Amino acid sequence: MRSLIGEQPVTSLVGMARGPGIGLQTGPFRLRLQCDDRATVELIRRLYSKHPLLDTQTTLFDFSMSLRRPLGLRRWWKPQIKLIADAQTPFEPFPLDHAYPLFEWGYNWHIAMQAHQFLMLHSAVVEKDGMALIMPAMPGSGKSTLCAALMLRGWRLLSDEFGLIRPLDPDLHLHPMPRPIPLKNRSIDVIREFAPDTVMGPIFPQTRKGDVAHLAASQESQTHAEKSVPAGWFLFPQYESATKLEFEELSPGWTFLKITGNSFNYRLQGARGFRAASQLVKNCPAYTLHYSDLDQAIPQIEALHAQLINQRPEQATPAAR
Amino acid sequence: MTPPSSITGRWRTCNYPELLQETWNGETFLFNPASGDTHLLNAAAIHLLEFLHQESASFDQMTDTLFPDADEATLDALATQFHQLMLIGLICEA
Repeated sequence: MRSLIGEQPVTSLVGMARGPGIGLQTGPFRLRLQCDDRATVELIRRLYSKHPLLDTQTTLFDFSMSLRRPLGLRRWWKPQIKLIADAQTPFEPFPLDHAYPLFEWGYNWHIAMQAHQFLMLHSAVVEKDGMALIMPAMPGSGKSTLCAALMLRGWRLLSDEFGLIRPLDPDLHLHPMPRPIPLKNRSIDVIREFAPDTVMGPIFPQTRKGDVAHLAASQESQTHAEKSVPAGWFLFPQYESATKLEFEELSPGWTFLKITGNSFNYRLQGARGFRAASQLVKNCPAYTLHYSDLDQAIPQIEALHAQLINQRPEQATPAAR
Repeated sequence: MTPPSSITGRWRTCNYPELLQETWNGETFLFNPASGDTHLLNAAAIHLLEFLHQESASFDQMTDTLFPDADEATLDALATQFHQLMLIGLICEA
């Protein structure tokens, strides 16, 4: 029987992190993390509680990451933390009290740079009734806020950041990687007001993306992290204060431009990326959404989702892969 | 109409059978495996490519056949488009 991150005593996880590392599985990826910052390990235990803990002795890892406090002056004076990702240092050191955001960005960096077995769309992905809603969007569009709100209304989170598709998969299933959702700046309070009982991690003030707080993936999302789901439709959200809720259907050409432009590795995929993106456009209707109010937007999204499920030539059924 | 000096001579497609294409609402997305680039082309550009895939031709021969009633402005636009197809490696000298 597999062990879960949250089942481990804190002291045990801290010991692993300072020694051989914590083996963390999130969806298709296996990460070995060594870390000498106790607060970060405690937060990982809390936010990744239902993720499998892997044996570092017997697991072949996709990525290896270390978060280390530097030796010398910076260990004590304005202390810092340094990320080492597969023997590279992709970022400058962060202040020690931003170690957890650095862990999350380091994990994203690993995936974006290395996981080319997937066509990676820069998008949030959620699932309901066996069909995925894919929300590609630029930073500041309200993607994470909408994604968090849908999850808090019972949708399964596949990812807030990566739409992962195996480009040779004829059914173009989306693969889950249900990591915490980083809420930024005003969206932290928006989600607190939307779901007052929500448990979030601490606010990390003044990171390079502003204030950031992490919302754990729902238990259902974490425990079904191996269950892929067919692509259903695209929604390109745009939050605008005091705007009228409006959906607009996108043409296939625009959809193709937007999803390939939002992909981390479309160009690198070559012909198989073109075929996969074309097939996605053929299979999945696409809409833009301008919204200002989550309580107004979500019922409309759910109604459209239900309608699109009914219109599919073959009923989407949940499929485990 | 006198085409720019860069498009005098005879022309052919470089690797037309290898290109991947999808057309939606008159717009064609075309992937060129030789360059790894994806291009968005309109119907006129696709006509030019299809014609030159069948046979090599000069710019004048091609426009006389495909667009016999084209006015000067249209021919200028076609010449520009033809030049762009050369630059992105879809048309080569025969």
